[in-house]
Amino acid sequence: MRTCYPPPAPGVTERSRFGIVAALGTVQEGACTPPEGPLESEIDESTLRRLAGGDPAALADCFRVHGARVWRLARALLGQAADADDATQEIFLRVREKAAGFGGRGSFSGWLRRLAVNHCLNLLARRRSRQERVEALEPDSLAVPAPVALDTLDSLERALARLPDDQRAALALREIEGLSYREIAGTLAIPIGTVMSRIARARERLLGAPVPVEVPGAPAPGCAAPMRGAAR
Amino acid sequence: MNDSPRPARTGAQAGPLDCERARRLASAGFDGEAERSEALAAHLRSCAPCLRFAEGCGAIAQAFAPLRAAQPPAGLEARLHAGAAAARPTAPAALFRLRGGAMGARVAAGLVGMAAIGALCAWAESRRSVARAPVASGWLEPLAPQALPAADERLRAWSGSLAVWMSEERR
Repeated sequence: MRTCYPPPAPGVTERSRFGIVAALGTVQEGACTPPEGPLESEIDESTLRRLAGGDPAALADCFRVHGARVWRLARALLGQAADADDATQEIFLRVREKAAGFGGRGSFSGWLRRLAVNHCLNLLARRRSRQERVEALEPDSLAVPAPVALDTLDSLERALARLPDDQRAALALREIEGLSYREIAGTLAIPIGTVMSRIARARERLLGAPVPVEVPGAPAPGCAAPMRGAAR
Repeated sequence: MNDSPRPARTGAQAGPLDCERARRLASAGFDGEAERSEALAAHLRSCAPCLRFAEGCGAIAQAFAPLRAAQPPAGLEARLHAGAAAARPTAPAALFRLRGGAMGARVAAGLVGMAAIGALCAWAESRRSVARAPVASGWLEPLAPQALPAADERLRAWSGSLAVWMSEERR
């Protein structure tokens, strides 16, 4: 049986992990390609001290360990490679500034991830305020655009760009970083149930298969399933 | 805060699911965050859109594969270092990172800076003394140009002009 990342949470068996979809025969090979490198690569304390002191070699070490992951996350969140380049540079400069304030609570990679996500979300908020995009104000009330074929990186980025920021962040942390819902909740400072909702909604929008929000609990077109609360 | 995932209801306990909850469970189940639910399975058997959604979760994960494998541009690290050099941290430790050839240049630059500041202070002090000296009985007396340092011709000229203006004003 294939092993997907991250390792299943305690109590979640590999069978139950993919019980729903695997039983339907829909998980395609390559869908769970593990990301490169260890997920929890850490830099040691002396490197952190040197980083706080502004040592370029320490910054280089930190970038070599975490740079690609931060860049991928920024690219997923910001949608364009050029923006991801700028953001990655800014994030690592902020890491250098704030390294002295990292108190060792939790992992460095988790701290860096939070910093990166917050930075990207701030950039998106600034960009949105400049563009005054109306759809960003009430993202869930808008019609979901037609699905696009997610067969290239460009098409994926275009599709991700149409997601509300909060949904995109949750989905990117899941699909790029391979985080558990608990870890995503910690990174975004939201409840796990909200993580679950945001990821599901992001997937709905990417697939162009929304549940109509005007009628809560209504079945999707073509759904013949009995509804909760229906006459028994 | 209870931060553990909410367990999915089992088929025996759960009533029929609506599409929204079914998709939440299908999405979480795909991620290994919810256990298999008979209620969900029953819903997926009878709801084609939700079944397509559940199938699509795998397609989305696969679509992310190129992004998971993407690498930052080769020049990004060099760009980062250039940016870092341009924006040196102000931490005290940075002041003590003087090594090798850079040390001499930085010390020299510091000395030049201190000398410049000293000269500026001396000039400002001389100007203050010029301004203070003639104060008498609430009125600025005309300056005597010969009382100023001979070296500073510009200041001498300025003082002479000032004396002329004040004498005109007094008249």
